[in-house]
This record gives sequence, structure tokens and C-alpha cells, in this order.
Amino acid sequence: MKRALLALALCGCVNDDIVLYETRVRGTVTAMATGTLHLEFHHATSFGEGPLAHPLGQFDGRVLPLMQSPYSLDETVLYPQQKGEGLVVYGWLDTDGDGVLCAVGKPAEPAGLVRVVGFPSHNVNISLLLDKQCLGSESPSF
Amino acid sequence: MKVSTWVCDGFNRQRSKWRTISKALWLAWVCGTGLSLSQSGCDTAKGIDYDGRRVLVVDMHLHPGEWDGIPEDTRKFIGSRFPFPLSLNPKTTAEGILSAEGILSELDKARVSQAVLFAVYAPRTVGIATNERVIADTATAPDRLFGLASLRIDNFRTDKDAELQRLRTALANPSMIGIKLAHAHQHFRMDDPTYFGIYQVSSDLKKPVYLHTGSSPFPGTSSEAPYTDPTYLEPAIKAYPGAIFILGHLGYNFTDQQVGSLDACIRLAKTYPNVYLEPSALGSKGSDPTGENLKVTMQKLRDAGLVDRIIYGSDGPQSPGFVKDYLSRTVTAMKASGYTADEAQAVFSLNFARVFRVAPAK
Repeated sequence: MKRALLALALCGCVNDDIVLYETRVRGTVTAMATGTLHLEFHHATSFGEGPLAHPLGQFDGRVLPLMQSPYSLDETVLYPQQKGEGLVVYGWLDTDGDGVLCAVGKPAEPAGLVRVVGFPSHNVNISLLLDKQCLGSESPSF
Repeated sequence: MKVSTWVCDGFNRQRSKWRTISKALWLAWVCGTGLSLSQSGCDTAKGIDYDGRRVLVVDMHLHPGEWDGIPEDTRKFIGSRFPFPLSLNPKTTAEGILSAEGILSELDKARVSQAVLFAVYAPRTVGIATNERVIADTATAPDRLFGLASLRIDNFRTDKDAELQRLRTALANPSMIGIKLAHAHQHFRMDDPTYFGIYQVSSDLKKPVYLHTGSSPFPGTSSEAPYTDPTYLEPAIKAYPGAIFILGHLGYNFTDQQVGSLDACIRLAKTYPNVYLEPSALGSKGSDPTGENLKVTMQKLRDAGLVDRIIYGSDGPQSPGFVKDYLSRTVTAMKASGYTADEAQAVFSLNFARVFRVAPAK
């Protein structure tokens, strides 16, 4: 009986396992200013039952100092495979140090987004240009 | 009144069978002779007693839906908030109260006259309750239920015009009296002009737009200021004076259980005549255990001279009994803040009727 319960408990845990796909993202981030780079790694499309599927879905992020442009990027991320497909990298530059993209009454700050071509792959190259003012990752302007 | 509690909560608390029977007989006499009907729980009359006066109530914030329309992480979250033993079968509990019949039952328990059901398109966070679903639900009780329509914004890159047209189509139904948006749940900045076409629809059709403001406890929500702080709505409020903006939850910080952006909401309402205020959810047992934040909020709104801008909502049904409990907590906060019966009537139903251009509740 105890063995059966243990097996049942283990089976329950198996359902929650996440398969992570390791990807090394290299390339450049270009901006007209310096500051703190906020990077977000998203699925291009997140899975969901029927209409619950949707674009984007952040699964990882980084906060990095960007002291010169172009900035050489080399980050390894763990991609949750069952949660979605495709890879999108979004970034914005915190030029005033307040941690908010384009806070009320503050100067505009740049953002950019790139849809990674050739994913899935364990090595991808990107060129992220931060040239759009104040846009969130969801913006249709990307 | 203890009698009404006894009636509504059932007989299982009674230790003695004979005592139960004698009380039931006594109650039958009370109900039959019409004594204290408004208080005893024997009748189905709507309204609450506020300083000796019957005040009718419209709850402008309720969520219908289906369990399958909610993302898995949020299902787990909702299930964890149900009291035991309802938490053992959250799907059955949720679907029982999210149906039109379930919501009407919750309204009856709370003696609420009318309510507004929200369509929601937030697939990442709280899920989807379609305009069609809300329209069908309102049709089950057209004299009591209204709806707010919404739209998907996550596919604006490809379907913006089609989505705006779908919104206009939904709003053509007479039961759909406004628009519901939740930037934090739907993930779009409050100040992004890409989405201002929604406010143009609101202005064109004279249908107010309700906006979730403040943080949110649901998984996957955007928590940054441009998605939660109503200050970021100011460009839209200013640009669309013909649209009415109802600031839901008053910028409450649900994460830290603090009043959050209340002062920003008050400033916007005092600055712009097209801004209204809705204090739902922030004063619930889970979000404001002592009730002090709701009291402070209602006091500040009254002190600011904004009673005519407040529209009551609960954000139910959440769990069985929530609609009634939230109403009770709000009444307590308003009485403690010195609201008169006239002011209570404005908050609980008359402001709603005026803003949404519907007949006052009966």
C-alpha cells in the first residue's frame, strides 16, 4: 500500500516536470545612449487551450549595465519547451536609473525587439536595436 | 439581527431538535405577520438598511465565466482561495457561482437589485469570458443584468481593426452598456496611443470604459507602473473628454495590501469631469483583513468631495457569499466615514444609473 502511494505521489510530480532547452544567445545590442539594459526572453507564442494561446510570454530576463554601444551580448537561457514556441528577445534601456520605462514626467527611453530566426537551436545570433521610444514588448509597432 | 442569521445559515447549528422546531414555528409567525421583513431574511425585497432607510444596490463588477476559460496557473490560484471544503473541488465551486444562475443567487443573497457582468480577454492571466457569453448571461435576467464588452488586444499587430469592430458589434447589443479593460492583465501600457482607438469607440457610442488599476494577485500579471498606475492614463483621459473613465480598484496595491495609487485617482477625478471611481475588491477579507484600508479610502473620497463620482462594485462572485460580504464591509466603511443615506444611495445605485444612462434600480 505504501509503495502504491509513493508511486502515485511520484506520478503526480512527473506531470509538473518542465523540459528546459538550453540556448546560448549571442550578438549585439545597439542604442544611442548608455544605462541599464533590461532584457526579456519570451516565447514567440505561448501555448494554451484553444483561445488561451497568445503571443509572447516571458520566461527569463536579465538586467545588465550597458556602458558602450554596441554592447556584446552572450547569455545562456533555459527555454521551457512545453510552454510555447519560438523565441523573442525584447530590451529597453533605463537611462535615468528609475527602473521604469518612460515613467511619467521623465525623458523617453529606447526599446527594441527581435524575433529570433532559426530557433530552436542551441546557439543563436541576434542584433537588437533599441530605437523605439517607450514601447512595451507587446506593442504592435514591433 | 440574530434571527435573520439563524434563518439564512440553516438549522444545523442548533443543538436541540425541539429548540429548532420551536424557533422555526416562531419564525414562521414572524414572517407570516410581516414583522421586520426588511431585516429578518424572510422576504426577497432588494436593498440594504442604511441608517433606517432602504437603499438599493447595483453591483457594477461581477465576473461570469467557465473554468476551462481560465489558464491553469490561475485555476490553481483561485482554488487556493476557496475556503475548505469548497477548495477540494474548485471547478465545481467556480462553475456553480460563475454561471448566470449562480450569480443571480449570489445577488439575491446580498439583496442586490442589478449587476454588471464583465467580458474579459486576458488569456495570459485571468482567462477569457467572451462578449457572447456575457450577452447570453444578461439575457437570462434582462431586468437585472447588464454587461461590459471587451476585446483581445494581444493580437492588435494583425487584427486591430477587426477587434475594434468586434467591440462595436458587441456594444450594439442593448444589454452591453460599457467597455472593460485591464492593462495589467492584458499586458498593454496605459499610455500607449496604439490602443486609444478603444476610447474613441467609448466616446462615439457613449459607453463608459472601466479600467482595472493597481496591481493584481493573479499569476502572470504585469506589475510595472505603466500597466498599473492610473497616472499613466492621464493622456488618454485628457485626449478623450467624451469618454468616461471608471478607475477600478482605485489603484490599490493588492500585493502589499496598501492603498497604492489612491491619491492619483483622487487627483484625476478632481481634475477631469470624465473620471469616476470604483472601490471593488480592495476591501475584501483577503486584501484588507481589518477593513481599515477600505475605511480610509471611502473617507478620503468623501473628504475630497467625490461622492458623486463613486460607483459601487464588489469584483465578485469570487466565492460563495463574497458579494454579500463585500457589500457589508463597504457599508461598514461608509458609515464609519460619515456617509449619509442620500450619499449611500448615490454610491450604491444612482451614480451608476446616471453614468451608464439606465433607469434607476427598483
